Amino acid sequence: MNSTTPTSSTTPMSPRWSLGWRCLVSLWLLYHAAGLLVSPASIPPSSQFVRNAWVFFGPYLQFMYMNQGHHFFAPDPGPSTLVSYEVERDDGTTVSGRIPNLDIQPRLLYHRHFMLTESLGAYEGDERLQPLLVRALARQLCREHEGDAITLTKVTHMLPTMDWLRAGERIDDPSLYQEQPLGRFEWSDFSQP
Amino acid sequence: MVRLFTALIHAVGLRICTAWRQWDDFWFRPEDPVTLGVVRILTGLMLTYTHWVWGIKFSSFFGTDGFQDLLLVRSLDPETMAWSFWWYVPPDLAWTVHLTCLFLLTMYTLGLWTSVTKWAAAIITISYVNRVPNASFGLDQMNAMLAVYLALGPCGARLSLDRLISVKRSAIRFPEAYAAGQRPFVLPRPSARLVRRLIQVHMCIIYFFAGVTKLKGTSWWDGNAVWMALANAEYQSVDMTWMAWYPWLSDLLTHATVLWEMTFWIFVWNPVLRPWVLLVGVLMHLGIGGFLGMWTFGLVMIFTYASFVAPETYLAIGFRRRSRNAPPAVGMANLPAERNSPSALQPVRVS
Repeated sequence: MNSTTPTSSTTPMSPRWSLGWRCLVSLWLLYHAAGLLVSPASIPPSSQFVRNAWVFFGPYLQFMYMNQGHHFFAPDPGPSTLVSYEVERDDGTTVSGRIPNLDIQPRLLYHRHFMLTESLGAYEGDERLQPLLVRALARQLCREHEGDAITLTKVTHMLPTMDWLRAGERIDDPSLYQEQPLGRFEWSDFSQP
Repeated sequence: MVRLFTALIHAVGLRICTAWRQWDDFWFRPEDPVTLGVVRILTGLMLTYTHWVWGIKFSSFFGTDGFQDLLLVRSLDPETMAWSFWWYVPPDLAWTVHLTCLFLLTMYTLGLWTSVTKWAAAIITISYVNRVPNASFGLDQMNAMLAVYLALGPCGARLSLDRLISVKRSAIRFPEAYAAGQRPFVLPRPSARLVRRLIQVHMCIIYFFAGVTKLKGTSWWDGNAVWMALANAEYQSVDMTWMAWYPWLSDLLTHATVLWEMTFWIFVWNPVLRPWVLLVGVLMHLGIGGFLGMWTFGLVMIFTYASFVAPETYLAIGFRRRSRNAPPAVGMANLPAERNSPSALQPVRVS
């Protein structure tokens, strides 16, 4: 639909689509809009009707990368999931840290790391995906710090209440952090599939 | 009885015709593509920045055995239709491909070779985000939505190097007409309207579900939700703990957020209310950027609001080139007939 200059000296006519083309596009619009509605509606809890509809729209929405739920801070803003690590090097020194941390700049890169650790929280109880993500995190952190072994700990940072703050406590009080060991990995572990 | 039946058919037919006309007008009435030009520039800036940031730790995220190794990503949903050209890029060429993508996104932002770079932008955006699904968030969803829709329309027809080049070419080919102030037309197009409507409707759906899904949570009812978001140390970029002493403020902002999100799709279509609805949205997203540190997400949401501004408004405030003693580019048809010399009216392609 490239525009061209008009071929007469009168007011140029805007190119209009043919009726057939507009009908065809209209059908696509109806399908597309229905898919956009089904996508967030299919996130549990959802009805069987919507879940069945997902079969019809899902592949299309995945292809278009429009299969989102739009659950921004819903149903409730929750605690954060972080990962702390301790890397052991062959010279006997250790490096410890936590991702995400505010040293990661720019802020967008910080959020990329944060989303990784948040995924770990989302995969809680998933025996297939969580080990894969933990292993990927361990291997990359070990590589970045040139370590021989690494120990990972999942850290859940609980949200403080207003009463907590009013009582004089801080949002980074150690008692708000819950730790759960994820394991110790040798570098040689990563050479195995 | 027959007369009643005929009248009924006639009335139904009339309703259907009216509905079709309204539908046709809403989606397909040709309009100037200047709005898409504005949205393209804003989207292009965000896409370029987003993908530039990937480059800072490119191998960590995109390496075959990085944070998002291939085994992990392919295990997320083996049946998915999600695609990415990164599946087919050899590791040795990854950086070259990344730099090429950055180049294409920069050209897209500038509006150069837009008929190609607009599709490249959509493909690049989706490919990147599908390669690193665990590191993506709302920003990427908005980036992809804008890039895909803009690829469907003439987003490079205005405010672009393509447009500048077409004007310069016509100046070389038709110097007399150019000296007389004539410029190649940018015709209103149905696809410009369609894309603008797609962005608008998509935003309505996003906000509606963002509001509705909040109703599933107790904190959005008891007024604590905004506090909980602001008291999250990992998001917080400005100390907002003082709000603990003003719980009514959290209550107010929580209820206002849900109400605004759930009613956006109703009130944004009202020409009188639209500026106010969008102003609230701008303030909310600036707050997300300023207080929760998600500047990129906050800004890209605001960028979509540019689609709610009619092309006539952009044209009225000067988003088109005017030249000495020349009429507006799109208004060349208003020139007296004798000034529209045939030599100046040769087709000029604009993507």
